[in-house]
Amino acid sequence: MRLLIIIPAYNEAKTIKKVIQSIPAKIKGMAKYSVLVVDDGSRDNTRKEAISAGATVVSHLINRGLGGALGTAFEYARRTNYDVMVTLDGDGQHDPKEIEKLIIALTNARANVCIGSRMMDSRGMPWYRVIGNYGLNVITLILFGIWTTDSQSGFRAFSFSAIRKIEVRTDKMEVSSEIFSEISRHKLSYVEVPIKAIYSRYSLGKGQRNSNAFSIIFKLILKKIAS
Amino acid sequence: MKNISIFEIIFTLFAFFAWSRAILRYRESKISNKDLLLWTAIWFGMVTIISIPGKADYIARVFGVRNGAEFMFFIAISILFYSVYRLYVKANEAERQITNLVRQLALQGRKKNKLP
Repeated sequence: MRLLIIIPAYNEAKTIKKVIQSIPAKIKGMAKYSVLVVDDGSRDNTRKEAISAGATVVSHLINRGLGGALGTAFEYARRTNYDVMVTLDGDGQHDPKEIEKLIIALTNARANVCIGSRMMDSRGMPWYRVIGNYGLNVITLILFGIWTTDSQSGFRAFSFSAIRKIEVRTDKMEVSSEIFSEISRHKLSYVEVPIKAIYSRYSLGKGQRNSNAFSIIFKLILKKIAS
Repeated sequence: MKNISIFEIIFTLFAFFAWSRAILRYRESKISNKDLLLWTAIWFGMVTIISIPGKADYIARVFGVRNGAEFMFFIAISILFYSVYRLYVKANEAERQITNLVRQLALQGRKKNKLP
């Protein structure tokens, strides 16, 4: 089986190389893997750093947001026929050694999607983030009928079938909830595994703010009305 | 003979000005038949309601609203909400098209540059 590891990145020159280099050389159950960095219109040396770390890079001419970058990743994975795709953040918040954990859970449960949940063991997560994430989980349940412990997690694994079925249409942070909308729409099976989140001043500064929650909710409601 | 107020004159002139803009946009093929009809109905409807004494109050009572002024206020707010929603949908669609374009360019660029 061929694995594609996706790292969406916007101005992550400080951390991207370290993240790529922390990916284990061998991943259990995978014959080989490739790393794709979707450089979302960065103005720093993200592209250069990622290439020097050995990753393939596709660059957006202008910044389109997390949803835009993930949409490009899905399109790339479809065109190049990968069997499994894993996404993780470029700010160092996720431990690449846990990629294997997600893949094992995905294959053992024969699921279509595996979510790495930071909330199954939220120790170390700032309290305001716990509240914000919980609120968005409730909104995801109300709008899409799926309960998840971490609707905003960026650490996910997708099967061959999920890569082909999931259609990303949103551009910004609301993509995380949109993925659950797609899981529900295509009746995909999904599992969750606990992951540890590494919080640094840098990753906290780069991550989602609670104030974004209102914009995400507004856009998700409008998306629901429009569909 | 009914006295015409300054408000009625200004509003009627403004309505005709706005309608003429809609016709221009239609001639330039920037709006559809449906949009032109909608704007024609809105502006002529408004002028009619403003010009005929007691008409707004009558329509308001039919809809269960106290008086014509309140009715006009509700209608204006509803139109504004709808317009904002339509603008939002259109802006979103434009954003989506830009993203698609940026995506295709990014994926083609990778092929040409033969990155590792």
